[in-house]
Amino acid sequence: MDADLLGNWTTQLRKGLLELCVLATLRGERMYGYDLAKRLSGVAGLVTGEGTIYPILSRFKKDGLVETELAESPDGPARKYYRLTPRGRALLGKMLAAWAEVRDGVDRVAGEGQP
Amino acid sequence: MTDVRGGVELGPDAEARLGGYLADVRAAVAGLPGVSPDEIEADVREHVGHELRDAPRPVPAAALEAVLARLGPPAGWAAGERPDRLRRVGLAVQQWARGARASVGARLRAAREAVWNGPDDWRLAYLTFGVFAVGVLTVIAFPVCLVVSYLLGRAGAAAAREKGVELGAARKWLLYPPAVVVSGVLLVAVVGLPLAAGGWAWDRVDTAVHRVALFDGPDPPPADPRDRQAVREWQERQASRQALRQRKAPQLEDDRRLLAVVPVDPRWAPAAAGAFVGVGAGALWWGLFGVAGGLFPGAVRGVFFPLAGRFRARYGWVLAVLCAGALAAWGAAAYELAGR
Repeated sequence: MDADLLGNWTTQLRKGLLELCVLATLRGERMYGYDLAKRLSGVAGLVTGEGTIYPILSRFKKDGLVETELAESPDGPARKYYRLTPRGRALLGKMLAAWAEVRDGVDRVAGEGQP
Repeated sequence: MTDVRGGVELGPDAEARLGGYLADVRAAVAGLPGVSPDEIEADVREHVGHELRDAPRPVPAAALEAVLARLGPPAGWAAGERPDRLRRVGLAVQQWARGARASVGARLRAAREAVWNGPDDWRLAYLTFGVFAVGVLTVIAFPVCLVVSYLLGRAGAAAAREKGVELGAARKWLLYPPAVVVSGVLLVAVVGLPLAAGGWAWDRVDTAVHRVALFDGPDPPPADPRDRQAVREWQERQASRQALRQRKAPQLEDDRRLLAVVPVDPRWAPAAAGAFVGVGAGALWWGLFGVAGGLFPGAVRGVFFPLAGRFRARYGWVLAVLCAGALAAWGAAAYELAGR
């Protein structure tokens, strides 16, 4: 029972945070989808599988938060790169602010319970 | 053996395993709002191809399995997502239909699976060539078959592109014939349009040359004045020319003015006029075409697919600049001729 509750809670927590991390990772530069998956899969506890980010990227693209471009690759076929759109950049700023607020609040509440 | 994006050859077991995995991917993301199963499948193919770029060829199933394990089970990708209402209805109907189909025999199910899970890009390639071949063989149905096979070919190429599959030579032979015919005809029509203006000018000047020669050319009287029949015919001809000359006077005046503008021997005037007008029309038309290509390179690639697959905006601008230069020189020459 507890395991189910914990599993559901973790899933929901990861989902929102992974979306935030996808946008944040793309903030500085355009990125190959494969590299993005590899980078985020290296963050402990964030993703359960490297493929998890692809539906998120697809949805973000549909929502106009990211855009893609094909670029020639010296190693083979052209690669698809993702980059933030102005709308995605604006949303990321708001999400980071909201996350900081929630994180500080949670830290405060958790700290109050400590002996 | 098959290729994932990146040209990785898979062994038969790996190929079957990847096909099953991609089917799971599509099933997992189907119905999720705002996602494209085609795009996700293309991303996964690209990911797998990148991971296996250094694997032995053909790639064994074990190597692929390790990559798929890192990608994770597709069923988990949609965790926490909720399909939109319309999709939920669709999925419920699908579920019901799946249950109904379960009662049908195993052979029928297997056949259906083979049809539905077959790669669209290959089915469309065969359909394209089949319809085109029917048109060629029956001749009478060629126009309809050409249009249908052209649309199927474009759909096949688009399906392959969405999956991230690069078309090999075999599939190009199946998909491209109708597209090459249609695009080739369009290209010839667009490129050759200025020739029509040149042809019109040729014909106009040629008519003027003949008319002027007919009325202004010498028609001396018969050498022997005692040949009464010849003299009578000459007199009738003179009377007829005089009457026609009066009736066509304005036209003749236009013809003479036109020929005075063409600074070459009348024998060469039609060809010179046709070439001059053709060059001017060509510079104007191809210049406009260049601007359109510079502004909308994707439209040029799409309309003249697959002939203009490498067309870039800068090509259009180069063409536009060259044509603008030619048009300026042509305009200067035309201005000078008009002043004669």
